[in-house]
Formats: sequence, C-alpha cells, structure tokens
Amino acid sequence: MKRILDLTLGIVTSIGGFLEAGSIITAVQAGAVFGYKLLWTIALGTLGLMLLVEQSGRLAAVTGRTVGDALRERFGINFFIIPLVTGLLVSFLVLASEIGGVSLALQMATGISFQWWAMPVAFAGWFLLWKGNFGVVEKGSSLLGLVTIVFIVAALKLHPDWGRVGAGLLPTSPDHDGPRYWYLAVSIIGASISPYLYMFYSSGAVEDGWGTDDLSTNKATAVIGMSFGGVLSAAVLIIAALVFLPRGIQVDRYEQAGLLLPPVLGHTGFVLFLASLGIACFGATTEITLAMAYLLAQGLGWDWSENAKPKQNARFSLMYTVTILLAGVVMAAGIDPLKLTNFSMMLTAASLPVTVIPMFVLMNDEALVGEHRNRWFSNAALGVLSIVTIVVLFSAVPLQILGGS
Amino acid sequence: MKRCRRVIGWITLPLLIACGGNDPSAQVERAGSWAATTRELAIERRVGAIGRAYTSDMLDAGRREVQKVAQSLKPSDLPETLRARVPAAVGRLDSVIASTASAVQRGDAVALGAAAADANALGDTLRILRAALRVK
Repeated sequence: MKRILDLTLGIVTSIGGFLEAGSIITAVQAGAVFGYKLLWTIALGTLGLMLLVEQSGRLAAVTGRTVGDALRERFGINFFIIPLVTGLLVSFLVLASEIGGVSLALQMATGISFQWWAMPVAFAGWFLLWKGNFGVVEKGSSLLGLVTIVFIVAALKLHPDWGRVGAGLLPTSPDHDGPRYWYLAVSIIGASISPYLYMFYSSGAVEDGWGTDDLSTNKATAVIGMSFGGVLSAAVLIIAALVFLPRGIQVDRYEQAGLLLPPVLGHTGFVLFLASLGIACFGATTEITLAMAYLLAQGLGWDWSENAKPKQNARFSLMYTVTILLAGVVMAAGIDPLKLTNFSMMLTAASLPVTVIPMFVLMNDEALVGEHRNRWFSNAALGVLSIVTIVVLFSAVPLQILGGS
Repeated sequence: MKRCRRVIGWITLPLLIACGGNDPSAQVERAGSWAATTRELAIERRVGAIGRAYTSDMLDAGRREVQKVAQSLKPSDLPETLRARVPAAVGRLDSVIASTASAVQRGDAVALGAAAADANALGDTLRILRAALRVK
C-alpha cells in the first residue's frame, strides 16, 4: 500500500510540473506551426527528465540528502552559489508564468483581466503552503490534475495518423522557418526538463523518509510518472497539429490556446481546457514555490520541511511567502504571459548544464552513493544529456533573438 | 584582428536579422492567423461552445494585433502591384473583427455565421497575398 502511495509522488510531479504553462503553450505553438515535427523534442525532454528524476530520487533514498544538499557538500559553497542563484532566478520566472497561467484561465472564464487575478492566485497558493503539508500539496495536485487526461481523450477522438505521429518522434530538420523551429525545440526541452522538478522530487523523497527499500518504487515512479507527463504533452501537440495547423491559427497570445478543445469536445472541451490550465499551473505554482524554498534552505543550512508548522521553520516559511507574493506582483504588473513563458522556458533550457553536469559527478561518487552509483547505461545517457544541455546553452541566446519574436 | 572581426560578425548577425524581422510576408501571415482565429471564434460562439466574455476578449485582442500589423506595413516595403491590396485586406480584417464583436454582443447567430464566412474569405485572400509577397 505504501509503495502505491509513493507512486503518486512521481505522478504528481509529472502532472504539476510536466504539464504546466510552459509545456502546454510550447506544445501548442509547435503543433500549430510544424505539425508533428517537434514531437521528438517532447520525447527527448521526457527521457532526460526520467533520467534526472530517477537519479535524484536514488540519491535521496540512498543518502537521505537532497540534490541541493549533495551539491553543496560535494562541491562546496563557492560552487553551489552558481546552481543556487541560477536555479532561483530561473524558477522565479517560471513561477511568475505559472501564476500567469492560472490567472489567464480565470480571465478566460470570467472576462476579468489576468492582472486582477495574479495576487489572489498567489495568495491562494501561499495559503495552501502555509496551512497544508507536503501530502496536501502532493495529493491535491494529483487528484485534481487528472482532468488533464482530457488532452489524451481529445487527441484520440481526432484520429491522428499514427504513422506520421511516429515519424515525428525522429528528429528532422524543418522545411520552413528554421530559427522558429529550433527556438521551439529548445523551449520544449526547457519546459520538459525543469530543474525545479527534480529538486522538488528529491526534497519530497526526503520529506517522505525514503530509504533503499524505496529504490524500486523510485524507478517505477520516474518511468511511469514522467511517461504519463510526456504523453500528455505530446497529446497537446497532436491536437494543435490537427486543429490549429489546418485552420492556419498561429499563437500570438496565450488565450488563443482556449480554442484547442472546443472543435473536438464543444463547450465541455472549453471548460475542461480552462480547468486543466488552471489546475496544472496551480499545482506547478505550489511545487515551484516549495522547490525554491527547499533549495535556498538546503543551500544555507536552514531547517526545512513542509510537514512542520511554519513557525518551526520560520526562514523556510518566510522564503516561500516572499517568493510567491513577489511572483504575483510581477504578473499583476501586466507582463505578457506568453512572452514571459517563452522566455522563461528558453532560460530554463540554458540553465540546465549547471545542475545536469554536477549530477554526473554526484552519481559516480562511491563515497556518497556506494554500490548504488551509476552503471554504464545511466552514465552514457547522462553524458548524452549533458552534451545536449551544453549545445542548448550556447544556442539559447541566438535562438531567442532569431526565433523568439 | 581577422578573428576578432569574425567574432563580432557572428555576434551582430542575429541582431541584424532580428532588426530586419518586420518583413511584410510575416506580417500578412500574422494577419491571416487572426482571420482564422476570428472565423473559429465566430463558429464556436455561434454553437455556444465558448463563453461570451472569452470571445469578446479575444476579438478585442485580435483587433489590437491586426492594428499593429497595419501600422507595421510600410508602402515602401511592398511591391507596387500589392501596395494597395495588402493594406486594404488588413483594414478589411479589422472591420470583420469589429462586426464579429458586435454580433457577439447582440447574440446574433445569423450575423456570427456571416462573420465566420467573411473571415474565411479574408483568410484565403491573405494567404494568396502572402504567397505573392514571397514570390516577389
């Protein structure tokens, strides 16, 4: 029974983290312009995330340390400052765009501008974190997040050509608009492999008191949970390829994505789209806020636990309070949610080497993980992922300029 | 020195391309996307699949985007044969979006059907104009 419950951790991180403001809109943009051609980036991002989640969970289960703890202890505070600052900066932008996603869902439902919703959404997220515990954040997201299965239902109802879907899983070069294609490819990778996701995952494993008995559960949650997220993301892209591309609708504004499901599921589709966007982004909002507070607390050696009362971990609680409210202020100022989301996904992709490459060292450190260190397959996969992240780092700025408009 | 110049070239190239990214073909494509969006909004609103507030917001946003496109189209950037047609089509799209918004406010299903047909025809026109701009 405990193992089944532990599986929800992986499923939650895939729903609340994988399908969020960034992964929804980048998949819609990709499908609307390039059809199935960018499906391979979702597959690549899913495999990369699966790998990092499994390794960060294994690290937590074997050592009782989170990725943040292990990075600081192994490399020292002088090095740790780099992933700490980068992680906090990038996660803050992603957090603002998630609050923007919830606010836009409310705007589409009520007609009241997203700017007015930003602070109430931030406050609701803070209230959940303040009053709830890790289990509430986890189970709340997992149960409500199941609504996003509507994307799979809609994709199946559209009867896609599975041969062409399969062909989309193989990388190909674009036949038009190259810079935009590669820009979206990198953004999708950024949206899929968000560092906050495996930071949150390893902190959650420590909160739940994982040990070596949980290693098989960890492997199963990484594979099943992340695959589920990847399939959802692919379903969004497939719907956009079948609904937007033939109609010639490109996405200039986030709200255009609201037209994704009505041609397939009518009014129910519209309502379920708003619910999916709102819930997925709200789940991601609470998880990113927690991940940022975890990272800072672990980096600076503060007490941290979402399961403890706020006054027992005052600095940790203050951190998430300030973070979520500041991110709310950013959205309330009226920044374009689509531009912010695209920019933050690109920045997330560019920041990946800072956490991915050190994982290579951590997971091969026998003194740290002992017999549970990486085998050749994990090292080879992590090596390939590291190379991909370095390529992404150097291409991010030119692509933002060339393809981001 | 040569290497230094090459590095500066690689750095400034994307910026130069970005600055020149306001090409009429891309702008007409953007307008075409809004014609398609307007058509879809009219169709889905007519059958009650999407909310009135959402439809009105989207049409307002569409008008703003189309007006931006209209402002960015400089006659000097357009070939002579298309100099009158392109701005006229974009201007017509602006009025189709306005009439769609008015039909939404009135809850007039017949007018919404007509607006969808107008937006569809305009979408075709913009597609042809875009193809012509690419050839030129």
